[in-house]
Amino acid sequence: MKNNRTIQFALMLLLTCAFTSQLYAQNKYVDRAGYLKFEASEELFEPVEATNESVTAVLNADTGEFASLALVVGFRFANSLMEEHFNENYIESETYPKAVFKGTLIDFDLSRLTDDPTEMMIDGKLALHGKEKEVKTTVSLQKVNGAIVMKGGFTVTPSDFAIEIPSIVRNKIAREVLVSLNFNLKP
Amino acid sequence: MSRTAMKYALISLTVLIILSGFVIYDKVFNPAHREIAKEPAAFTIAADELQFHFADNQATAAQKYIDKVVETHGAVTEIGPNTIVLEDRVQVYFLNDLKQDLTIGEEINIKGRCVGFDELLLAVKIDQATTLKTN
Repeated sequence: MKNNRTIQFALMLLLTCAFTSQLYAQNKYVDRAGYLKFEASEELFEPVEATNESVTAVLNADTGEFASLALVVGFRFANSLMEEHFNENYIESETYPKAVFKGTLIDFDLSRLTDDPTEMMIDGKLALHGKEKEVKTTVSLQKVNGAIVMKGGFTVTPSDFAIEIPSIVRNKIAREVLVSLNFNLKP
Repeated sequence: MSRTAMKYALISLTVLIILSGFVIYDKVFNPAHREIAKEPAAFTIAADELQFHFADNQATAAQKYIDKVVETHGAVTEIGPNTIVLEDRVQVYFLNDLKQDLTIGEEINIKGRCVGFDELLLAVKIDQATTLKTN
């Protein structure tokens, strides 16, 4: 009899665990191959831009909390020398291998999302190169086949993150860096 | 040498110098990208073991593996567009569109460039990957 009860208890525990973990999993929307691009081109000079198609993004649909992580070595430039300089001299990817954004979508409500893009504010902190900066921007969100598509952009400056641009190339790199993002977050 | 021959020689020499100037400029300021698929692997390591190195000590693993060509193997646990997960621990992004018919649970061997450790997924990421023949 006692043995039976133990089994019953164990079963209950297992069911509860399974139930809660499933609940938990349902509220998380993840993109394992997100797209980030940054651009700091100046007219008349070679374009300064790179894309990263291996960015991770996670959205907690209950709270609107959002996190994204890009490994900086994953940014690809058309010019390999530019890529090398970016990694070695500017972003110092060996010492600071990642860029992380953590923030919250303001007034996020999963049930309000439709097939049409909805504009929403996101407020958070971007950390890279050992520095942190507040980023507040508008993003558009829409539901596509059960997934949440998030698109948007924001600007930062190299000095926000203590990245020094040598005077010799200063006029070839824009003061403001335009970052654009495209995530396809799946449940 | 006649005057015309001299003239032609001079013109072709100038053209040659200008052309080689362009080639050298291009080689110096726009060298070809690395071809990970053609480079020999610096490390051959099981997928779960590679992730363990990063999970254990990110800084040392980063110094050792990031931007290096790594050959790794394990069972496929997730398949996405142009990306797969090995052993729930290594996220692999392929160089070209994934045309191979992969199935969950299949053991595969890949070679690619290690880009680092992702704390959100607790996974090591490898890009520009190509599949290697297992047999």
